[in-house]
Amino acid sequence: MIVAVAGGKGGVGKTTVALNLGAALDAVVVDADLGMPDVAAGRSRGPDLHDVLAGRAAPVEAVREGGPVDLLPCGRSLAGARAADVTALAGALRRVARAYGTAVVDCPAGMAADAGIPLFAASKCVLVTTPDRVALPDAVRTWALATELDAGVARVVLNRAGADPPVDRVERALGVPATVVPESDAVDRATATGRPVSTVDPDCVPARRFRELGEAVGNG
Amino acid sequence: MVRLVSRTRREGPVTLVEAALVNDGPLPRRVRVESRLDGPVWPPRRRGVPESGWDGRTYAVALDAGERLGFGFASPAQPVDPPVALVADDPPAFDATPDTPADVVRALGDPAPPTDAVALPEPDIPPAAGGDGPPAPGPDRPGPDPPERGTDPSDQGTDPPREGGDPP
Repeated sequence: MIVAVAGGKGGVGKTTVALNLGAALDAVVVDADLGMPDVAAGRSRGPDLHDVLAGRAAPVEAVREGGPVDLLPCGRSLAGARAADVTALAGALRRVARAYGTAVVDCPAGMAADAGIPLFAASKCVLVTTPDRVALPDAVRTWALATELDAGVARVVLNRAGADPPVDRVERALGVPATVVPESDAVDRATATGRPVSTVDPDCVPARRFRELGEAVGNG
Repeated sequence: MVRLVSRTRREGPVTLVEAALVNDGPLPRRVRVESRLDGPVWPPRRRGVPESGWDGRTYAVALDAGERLGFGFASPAQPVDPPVALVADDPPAFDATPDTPADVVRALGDPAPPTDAVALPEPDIPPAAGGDGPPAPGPDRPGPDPPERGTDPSDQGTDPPREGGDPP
């Protein structure tokens, strides 16, 4: 199974959701943000997604095991992004999913092909948005793109939600159930070091919500 | 959602319909409008051919987010209110469902940074005095580590099109 974590706008927490959903599903998290990679790869060295998309490494060779979540990181150089053939991403994701069972893809912001290819390859997607007037329209655009590319939208995550998130409005607009993840220091601390929040505070509300999200996506 | 406003005017034996489509939403939309008049539709023509979008009693057009578009037609039928109705209001679509990643790139655009944005690699070693040899290899990152296990040459991520979908 390939699950795309998408959202349109940058900075809404796609990486956080991908990391935590990957942990909940025991999946490989693929950082597909070819231009601005975000998932902390730690100190491990080896081929990355740029190498895979340039034909220099096989997808499964680039998966880093042994961390809190299996990870296929992305290179950080412009030259690497330039050399990467984005059309190879769909095949690479399928190979990772075939070898490991599930791949969770952290999609880039925007509506260009690097955001479209994971949706093209995915059978499901999770939309991430913050509950504000700037991010929500981007989530709607991404929903439309995901629908056109047949990536069934399984859930929308209302991330960094305050006291009274517009759950009804978002669920009505997108036609999918929402998972509310409140603002949390534990989540920020965990994401900064490439860990799911369950490793920092397994009983906090965000950790519980991510477990529920994993069950919903895994069973849906 | 797209709004449709319209009005009619009678000029002798002919009813003139004026209408406007307004896309207030954040997304481009594809819409189709149909005449409600009880009679034939005479669309605007160029060199005798109906303008693009007209097909019998319907007019189809794509609207960008925030776009307003006026259109009109004539008919010998008596006016009715409203003279036109919105019969389809859909999200934008690819011309055809993409079959390959290349279709997606063609539709959405290649995200790779332009060549001009990528600095030429700096040589690691200064060339020998007077030497005209090629610059020393020195991209900004080392190549991948050697694989730790056997690599199946067929297991590259570069085979493009379809594999019949994602395994469940």
